[in-house]
Formats: sequence, C-alpha cells, structure tokens
Amino acid sequence: MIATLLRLAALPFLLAAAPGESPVTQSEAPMVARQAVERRLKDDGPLRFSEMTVRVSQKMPGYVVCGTVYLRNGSVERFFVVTPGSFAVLERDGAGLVAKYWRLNGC
Amino acid sequence: MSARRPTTALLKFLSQQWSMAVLTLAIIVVSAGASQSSDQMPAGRGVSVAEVGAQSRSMIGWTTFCEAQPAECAPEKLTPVRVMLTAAAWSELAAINDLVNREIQPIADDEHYGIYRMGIRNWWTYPDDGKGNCNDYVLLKRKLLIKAGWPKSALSMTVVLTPKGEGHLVLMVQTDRGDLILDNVHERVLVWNETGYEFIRRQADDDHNVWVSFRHGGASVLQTSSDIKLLRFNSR
Repeated sequence: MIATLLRLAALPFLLAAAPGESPVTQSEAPMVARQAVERRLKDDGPLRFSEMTVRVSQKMPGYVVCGTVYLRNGSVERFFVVTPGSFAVLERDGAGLVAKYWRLNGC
Repeated sequence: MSARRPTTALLKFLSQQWSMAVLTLAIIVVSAGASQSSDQMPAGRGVSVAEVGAQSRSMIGWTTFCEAQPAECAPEKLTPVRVMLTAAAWSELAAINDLVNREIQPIADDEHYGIYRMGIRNWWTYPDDGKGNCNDYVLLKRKLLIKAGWPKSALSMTVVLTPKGEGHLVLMVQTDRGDLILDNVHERVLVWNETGYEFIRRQADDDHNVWVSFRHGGASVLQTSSDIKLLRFNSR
C-alpha cells in the first residue's frame, strides 16, 4: 500500500524525458519503439510486431529501431524509431522517409 | 534576497502566460494548417539570409538539456554549409516538418512535467511521450533531419520573439534559397523574414554549443560564391 502510494506520488517525475529521467538503454529500445509505433497506430490495432532491429545511432546519441508491424486489417508497415525522441516514422508518412532511414542505418 | 521574490514571482507568472499564449496559438494554427507541397519551394534568387554577429550567452534551456543529456552536446567542430535545396530536399524538409507538427501534441512545460515546483523555469527535451512545446518540436525535427542526412551545421536552434513579444524557439535551416524556419506555430516552412518574428540568437554554424546574436535588422542577399560552401546531399 505504502509502496503504491509512493509510486503514484512519483509518477509525474517518471514521465519520459522528464527532469531526472535516465536515457533509454539499448535493452529498453525495443519497448520504447513499440510504444512509439502504438502511439501512431492506435486506431489500427491490435498490432503484431516482427523483425525489430536495434542499432546504435550513428549521427546522434541514442538508438534507432527498424522493424515491421502487422496491422489489424492484415496490411504490413515498416517503421523507423529514434530514441531519445521515441518517435516513429511510418511508411504512410511518405516522401520515401522510412526507406531512406532504413538505408542510412543499415536496416 | 527578499527583494528578489517579486521579480521571481513576476518571471514565473510571465513565463506561464507566455507558455499558454504560444501553446494556444500553436493549437489553432497547427490544427488549421495543411501540408506543404514542393511547388511552394522558396525562390532561388535574391533571397536574404539573417546575419549573425557576436557570440552571445547560451540559452538556459540548452544548458540544462546538455546537463541532462550530455552526449547530445559533446564538443564537435562543424563545417558551416548551406544545403542546396533541390526539389527532393525541399519535399523531405516539408514532410518532416509536417509530420512532427501533426503528430506531437502541444503542451506547456509546467503542465507536462510540473517543472515550476522543481525550480525549473524552462525545460528543453525530446517529446518522448508524444507531447511537447516549441523546444521539443525543434529538437525532434533537428534529430530527424540529421538522421536523414542533413548536415548538423545547417540546422540551428533559433530564439525569436513573436510579434507579441513572447519568447519562442524555431529551427533555422540554412539553404541556398535562404534561411528557412521550421516552426510549430507557422504550419508552413517560411523564409526567415516572412515569419514576422524578431530574431534574437541561434546556435553558431561551426559549434552548436556556442550561441550567436542576430544583427538587428541585419540581412544580406545570398551570394552563391566561394565563401559559401554548398552541400548537395542525397535526399533519397
């Protein structure tokens, strides 16, 4: 009970990117990528992830995650996630962005 | 010490008002906006660039960002360049600007993180939970552009004042078609002198841990000469 109350009290301080928050580690990157993709595709779920690859970011600190996700309607979409940033770029975003990110990051 | 309290309280109040005003404006403009197509690419001749002058003090938001995420601010000597704004580069720039403006939900720092009760007035960070204010939009756009191959030296975080005198952060992209502004308030990518902002300071071209002031009213016509290094990069 006390532990739960303490956790609730600390919640505002545990938000991603909040003051005092630790940077995402390589082992946490896949989970962060899933959350980032789910945030973008919340109307297309449930989602099924496959072929997720984590790489150390080359031009900026952090990690990049490349992968594919199966949507509820059966279609497949590639994604590219940067962290820090926890932001997913999707094939639907156009301009050949995902293809370029995959190529530049050896996905 | 006590004499400082009213000043601190006033600053806090003004900061809150500033955040809310910019946030409100951002919600209105971004939600009403439309994506930008390549046929709206800035003209190539006679485009003015914003002149910078002396070194300025660093932004406190940048300083605290570097303390929190030191790897982001590791010393790095950059080679100043201007990007050749091909149709493909323009399309990519507009796409990333549209994407971040569309997907990140605007929220004021204190409402987001409760920073005032921590004694923090301004908090620059990435919008890791899909929400953020102007600083967060700028950091994410900068990162996505760099990851897409854009040269870091051509992407400067830039402090401006809005016509209402409110502090605001935008991303300046130095191109052969002028200094372009990526903003979460103006939906479209604009040439700097079309924004209506007063330009205060930005990151230096050769070192992003150094900030330089803009010359008031300073503008020069872009010369495609040997003193301007142009970079054409593979934008596909």
